[in-house]
Amino acid sequence: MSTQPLNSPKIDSTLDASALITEHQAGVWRYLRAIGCDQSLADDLTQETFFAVLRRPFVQVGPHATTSYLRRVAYHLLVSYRRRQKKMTVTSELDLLDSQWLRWAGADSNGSDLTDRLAECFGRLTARAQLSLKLRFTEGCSREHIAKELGITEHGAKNLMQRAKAQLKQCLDEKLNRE
Amino acid sequence: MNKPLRNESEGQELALNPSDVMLSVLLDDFLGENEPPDFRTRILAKLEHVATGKELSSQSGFVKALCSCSEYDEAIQAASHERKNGYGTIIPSAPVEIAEASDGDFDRWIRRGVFLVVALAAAVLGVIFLPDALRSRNATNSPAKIANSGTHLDNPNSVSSGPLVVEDITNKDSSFLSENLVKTPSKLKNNIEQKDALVERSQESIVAHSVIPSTQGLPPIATNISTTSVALKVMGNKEVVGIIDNQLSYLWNRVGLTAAPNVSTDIWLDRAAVAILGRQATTAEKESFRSSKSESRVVSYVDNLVSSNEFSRYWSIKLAEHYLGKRISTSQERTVSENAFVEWLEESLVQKLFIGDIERQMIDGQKNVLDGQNVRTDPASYWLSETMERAATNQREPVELVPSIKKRQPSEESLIGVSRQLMRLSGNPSMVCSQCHMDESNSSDLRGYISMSKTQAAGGSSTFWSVPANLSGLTLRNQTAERSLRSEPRRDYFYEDEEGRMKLATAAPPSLRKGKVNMTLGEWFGSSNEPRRAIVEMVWGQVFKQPLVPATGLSEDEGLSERVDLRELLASQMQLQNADLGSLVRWIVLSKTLRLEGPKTDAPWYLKSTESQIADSQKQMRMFAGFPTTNSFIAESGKLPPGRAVSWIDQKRSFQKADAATLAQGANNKSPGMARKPTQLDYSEDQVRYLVSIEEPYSRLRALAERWGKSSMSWQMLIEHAYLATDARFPSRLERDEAIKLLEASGQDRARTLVMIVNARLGSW
Repeated sequence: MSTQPLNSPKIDSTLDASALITEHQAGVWRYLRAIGCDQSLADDLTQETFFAVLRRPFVQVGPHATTSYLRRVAYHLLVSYRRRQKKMTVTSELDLLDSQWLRWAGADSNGSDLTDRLAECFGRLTARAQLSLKLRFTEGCSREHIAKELGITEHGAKNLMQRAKAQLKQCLDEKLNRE
Repeated sequence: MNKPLRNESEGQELALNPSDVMLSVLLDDFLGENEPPDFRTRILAKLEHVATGKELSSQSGFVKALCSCSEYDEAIQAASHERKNGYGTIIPSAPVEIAEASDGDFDRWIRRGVFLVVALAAAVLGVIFLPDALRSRNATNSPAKIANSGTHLDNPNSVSSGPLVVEDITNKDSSFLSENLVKTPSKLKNNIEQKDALVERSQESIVAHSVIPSTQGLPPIATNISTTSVALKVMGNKEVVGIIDNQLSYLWNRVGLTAAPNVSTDIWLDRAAVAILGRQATTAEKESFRSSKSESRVVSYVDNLVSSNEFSRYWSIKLAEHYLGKRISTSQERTVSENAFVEWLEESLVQKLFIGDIERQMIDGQKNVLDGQNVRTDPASYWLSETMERAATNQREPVELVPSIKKRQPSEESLIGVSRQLMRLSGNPSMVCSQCHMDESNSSDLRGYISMSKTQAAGGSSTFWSVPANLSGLTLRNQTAERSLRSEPRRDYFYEDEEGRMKLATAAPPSLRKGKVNMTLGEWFGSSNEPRRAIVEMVWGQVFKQPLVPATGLSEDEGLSERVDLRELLASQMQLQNADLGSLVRWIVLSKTLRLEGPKTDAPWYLKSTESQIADSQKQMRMFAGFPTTNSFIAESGKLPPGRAVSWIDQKRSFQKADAATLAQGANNKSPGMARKPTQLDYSEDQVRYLVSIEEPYSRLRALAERWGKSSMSWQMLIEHAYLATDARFPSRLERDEAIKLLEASGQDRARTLVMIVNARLGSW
């Protein structure tokens, strides 16, 4: 890994770097998570993204443009990282995920709107569906364990989670369409 | 939480459905209450360290950098480039190719530099050694081969035995053509599907896929799918020929056809001469070709034929027949005005006039006709005069032509005739319709209604008022007819507006449109590429004996879109280049299809072939994967370009009244009396449409043949019926003999034999 010294980087004095990071860090991090990074990689690439942008003069055109720009820098850094890790990557998958993020999050700079919408949609699920997803995602329970907890068969648990996810997707899409 | 994301339905790592993957991540973060840490302190500390050299404290939290400076720069450049190119919030960028990763310490730019150097060195070595290698390869040809037959068609220095060796006679540098096909409006909608297909293919592979084929050298593809206009560029002759070849090759690959082998040089020389001059190549021409050592001798041979006076003479007659819609007799039998018209066309071809200019003069000749000038002195106006006269004559049978008529009074029938001819020539029936019909809000006049109602069947319309054109003065002057029209109960005619809504069209003569007309019909003929389609069809039909886009029966499986695109490209290039007829003939004759073998469709072959062999042969011919011949099994309706099917039906339905020109007999069986021979066959409209249709030709063929077979008619008469039904003519003596042999071979099964005969004529689609 080459960490060459940076030669006289010029930080844009007109830019409030602190404010930029504060406003966009959550959005970049969530975006990186959404396109396939685990949490630690998302952490690292988020800081790399801002460092890459701020080490050169950066002029903000507008909030949406900045959001989009940061996202694309993060995207390309992820591609470079995977290439260097000798991982075969099909970029079309990343593109599909990128498109999906754009569809759901749009110009939201920190991704909090999407999280809010998800929370609202999650609240509309039945109690059993909510429980099954919580067991799955918070405790990492197996399907068999979830089935036992809910008193249903394993196949039923699978169906229940599938339906719950489908309802969540539909709910997110409907909200998107309404907006 | 670093556990892999799993699909509930499949139990494996998700890679396909992005919404599933993303939902899982969102749920993971939402339910696990994962929040991003605050990066502000560590990033600012790092920036300060870089700017001032200040030591990074261990509390800053900045982890070891993941990326190198060059990767920072690349990411920034890529993102900046995307922003400049309008990377929005919806359209994903072109996929970035990621090849197998190499050592991280090896700078990628160095690798690229090495690659470039190696590629350059290889190119230099190729330039140096390739000619020698080719020479040595030619030198190793065996003496037997050299003694065997003629030289290679394209390379006089090489030797070929038997069939021609396919070699690209087009642009050797335009290798991109092999991967890029014509992209014209009808292809635009497929671009998204192409991209999707590429994405799907890429997901099957491990490495990243390539991007969508480049459009270098081709018409740029509009990114907006709803846009139908495509900016075309002027192509060189080689490019156009290459695109014809590649478009047809693509079609054959798509439908799983193998092109027929190539013919010998002699046959090709004859074919080219027949296509260009209507006769076989002379011995002198063949010898001249063989003695030429030029590598471009194929092109030179075609150029010499196209630039000869014989070409102008031959194609002036073809053009006259195309424009007038009738056979042109030999020069001794032509009328003075007809001869003047043909000579005018010939002179235009000699001068290499743009075909649009010829048509503009011809269409605008109406002014002379309507102004009462002597049309005999103006050859260009002959077309309109003749068309109107003939249309009126056909309707009022029997009416003898009055040669002394100099001033034509437009009548309903003549207008109908003009409309029909214009539809055939224009390639845009709706434009012709708009000559007599206007928007309902403009006028409530009913004049011109008849012509519309009778001609609308010849073609559909999607942009009814797309072209502001005016055939000034061609209005109904017959007051009686106008009154009768007004008193008729109104018949509704609908058209489709630009937004796809059906609207009621109101008939009205264009003369009422004052102040809104900005183009005459002739000017439109000269300025639009749509009328060029008809010329492309005519030339293509002359060369290959069947149209590029038949009027009926062509489905997507038979290359509808590819053929339409190809026709569109040729028409557009003619218009863009202001090309004369010779250029178009040249493009088509130089295509590889002219080199392919034709089918062997004689009676012995037919009798010993299986059904699948016959079907394959027919399909090969139909798709130009074999050179179609006049003896090929192609339905008469399939030989008709768009706009002629309706007249063909009319001719077939009224053949009892038609003259010998309509029901042309085989040349070896022609006698004056037989053309007027009464027939017992009477077609219902249903039957005719069935016979015309190539989509389901066999749905009722068996039933029809059974009915014919059980009739009391003689076998000779049944054969005549079969040929009249399929080819609108009586069978020749040879065909009668073959039919008798077929009947014997089938064990006197008349119905089965009739089915075989009709199959042979119509094809099996």
